[in-house]
Amino acid sequence: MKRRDILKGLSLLPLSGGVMGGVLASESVFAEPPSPARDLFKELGVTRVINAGVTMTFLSGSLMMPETMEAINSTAHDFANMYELQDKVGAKIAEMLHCEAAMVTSGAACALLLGTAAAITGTDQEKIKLLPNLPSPRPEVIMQKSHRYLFDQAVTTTGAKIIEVEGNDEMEKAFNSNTVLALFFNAAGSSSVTREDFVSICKKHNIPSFIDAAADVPPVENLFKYQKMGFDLVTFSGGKMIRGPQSAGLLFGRKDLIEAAKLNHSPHEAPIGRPMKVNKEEMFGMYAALKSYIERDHKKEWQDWLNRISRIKSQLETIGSVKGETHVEPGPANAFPSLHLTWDQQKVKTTPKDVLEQLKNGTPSIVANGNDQVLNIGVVLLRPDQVDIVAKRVKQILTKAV
Amino acid sequence: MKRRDILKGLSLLPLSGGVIGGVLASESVFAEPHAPKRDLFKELGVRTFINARGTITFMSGSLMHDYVLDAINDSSKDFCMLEELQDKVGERIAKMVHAEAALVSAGAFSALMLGTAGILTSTDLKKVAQLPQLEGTGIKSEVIIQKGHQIDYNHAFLNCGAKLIYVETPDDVDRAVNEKTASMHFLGSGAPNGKIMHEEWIALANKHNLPTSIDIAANIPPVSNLWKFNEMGFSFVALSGGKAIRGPQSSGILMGKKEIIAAARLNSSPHSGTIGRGMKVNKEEILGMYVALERYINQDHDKEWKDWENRVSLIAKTAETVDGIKTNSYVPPIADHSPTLDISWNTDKIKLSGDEMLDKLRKGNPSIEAYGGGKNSITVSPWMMKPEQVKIVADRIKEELNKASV
Repeated sequence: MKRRDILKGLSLLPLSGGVMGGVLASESVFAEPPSPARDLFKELGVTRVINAGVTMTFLSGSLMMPETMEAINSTAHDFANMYELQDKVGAKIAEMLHCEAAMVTSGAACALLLGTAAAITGTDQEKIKLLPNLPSPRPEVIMQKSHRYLFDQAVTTTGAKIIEVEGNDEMEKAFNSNTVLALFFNAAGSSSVTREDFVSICKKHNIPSFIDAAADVPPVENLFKYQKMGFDLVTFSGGKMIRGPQSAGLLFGRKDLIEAAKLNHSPHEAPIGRPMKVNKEEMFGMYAALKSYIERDHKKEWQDWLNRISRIKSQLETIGSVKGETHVEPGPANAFPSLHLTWDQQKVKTTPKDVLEQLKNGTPSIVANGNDQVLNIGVVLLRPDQVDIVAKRVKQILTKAV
Repeated sequence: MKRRDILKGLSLLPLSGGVIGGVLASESVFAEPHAPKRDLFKELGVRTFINARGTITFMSGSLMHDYVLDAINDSSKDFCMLEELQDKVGERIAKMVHAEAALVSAGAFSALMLGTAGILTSTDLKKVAQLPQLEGTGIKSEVIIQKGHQIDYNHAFLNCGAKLIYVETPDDVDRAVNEKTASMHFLGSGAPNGKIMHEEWIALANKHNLPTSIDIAANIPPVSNLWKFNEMGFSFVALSGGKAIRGPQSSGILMGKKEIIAAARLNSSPHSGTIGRGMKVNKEEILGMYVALERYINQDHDKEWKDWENRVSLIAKTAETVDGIKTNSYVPPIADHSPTLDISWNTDKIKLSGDEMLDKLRKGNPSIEAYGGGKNSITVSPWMMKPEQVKIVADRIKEELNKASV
């Protein structure tokens, strides 16, 4: 809330007494400068979107927490040494996450790349200089076949090659003198090697294990779980439910690997990670966001999400045949509640896909998810004032189709 | 001010006549909380310092202007489609820099990589997914560059899987071009170290029908460099956003030919399976960059320059009051092009080395980062100082020189 809004609010208060009215009327003492704030979205014709979905990169991730913004604003006015900052922010984050070391990256994909680079180069400056063009044979990273995904280009971007395995036996046999790392995709649909086996096989072969848990909080416990399980490196996205800067992420785990990852990253002049810049404000923002996330009352937050769902649901179930149901994604990615809406398409003559289209193209533009039968309304990324807006818009669209 | 603070404050308001004036006068309701704000530098034990060195990445670049922070704050409250934002910001930036197209990258190095990736892959998504493994793909893999233009940052090309082919003369270029040649790169700050200048480089590339790129990361000011190389005909230009333009430190600009920028976008976040996915730029940075650039172009550059000269002259004059001091002011010709001051001294009269001086400035209060050093001199670049810091720096230097005077 800005000061001028407060003053506006106050002027509505029945405050008797002449002096008060006079002071407030002038507003000049406390009010913000009179020029209207510049609306950049409007100026550029960029559509503001209400996110009734999940945290998607293309949809600008999540909205930063007030603590994140405070950190950005309060650290913007001074210079600092980026090496020192990364070390000290990393030390605090490592303390919070009960691990040896940590660093702030420009997102989880960056963390994947830096972790792989670290496993290849260690602290060897010659190798760091050569990446991604190491003399053959190429370094190898072991992944389960079912864990291959778009983001593993971060691995091959370092020059490494991915060796696919299925099951413990194949994994055991895949290790050779070129193996540098084994990567586990936490949110993969299926796994032929369990996390625990994955870790122990890696340990047996003395090769670091890395788990990508980018979108895998809540629950907050996941932030501590995988390092405890024995993974040597863990990454989480910073700009999803932790609500740090969207272009920030976390890489943490074994100290020697984090030190090596830092050597492959900006502000070092020209390693493979140089283009993945994270600025000082983002580093502080990531730290403040993580601290706020860990210290938050997660039960209360969860209950708030459930309350939002009931609030929207009760407004929509007034339409004949419309049924709402609280759905909790099993995870590990996006494991939070949302509202699943269904209706008799003979009575409400529209499909979820059509509703999605109308929501997106309407004013305000709303992005939700769904399939042929179910309209999925996410609530965790709505600002408080947007809950009713979403309910009203969906109601309007469905009512028209009756 | 947060809502709960306001409410807390309000509940203390005696809501009745005359008293209210007294409350208002004290400002206790409206003033920011008196409790000290969270000081994150202190909380983490991170040293802040007066920047007497310039726009250096490891020293956190430059300080964003308040209007850049405003853009960041204002745009942090809404979601939007990043592709739409890049489209629209890119369009505006392109106009400002006289280019066909532009995008906001995560810095100049990122811009170099994305532009090069765009040249290598064009809009072929299969190729996008193959970078940086070019072998057997049929993707062109050689970038021609002059020997004198070699710097560490050229690693950007290697990161894309390309090789650098070094040349010295136009004949070398003719001989070097083959079916694997992807582009010809020029290092803006390296121009005096090469035998071929900008226009001739472009002409050679045109002769061979090859695209050209130029790295001008730290080469603003002058402001005209923002459009000079686009107008000259380079296919793409890579620029840092967090230096003189004072946008977010982790931002930069890639500008140039439409088809290259479009292809670069395909190699970049928010696209998932790309070489650029790790170089994320968020919506706040994209808008911050836009506002920073717009305001930079429209600001009074002569006035700013004059101010920098005055800073140099104040520091020089203050130092010169100490016996045995010599000063020399100059302007680095291409990169970090701003008034700069060397201060040197006679070590018979002042028993202090340059390195010791730098150390004393760094460890003093407030901490000051200057550069140069060595036997008997230091260098000071005052353009990144806050106005009130100039005198502080001048006085601190004088103080240390006096202390060491025999």
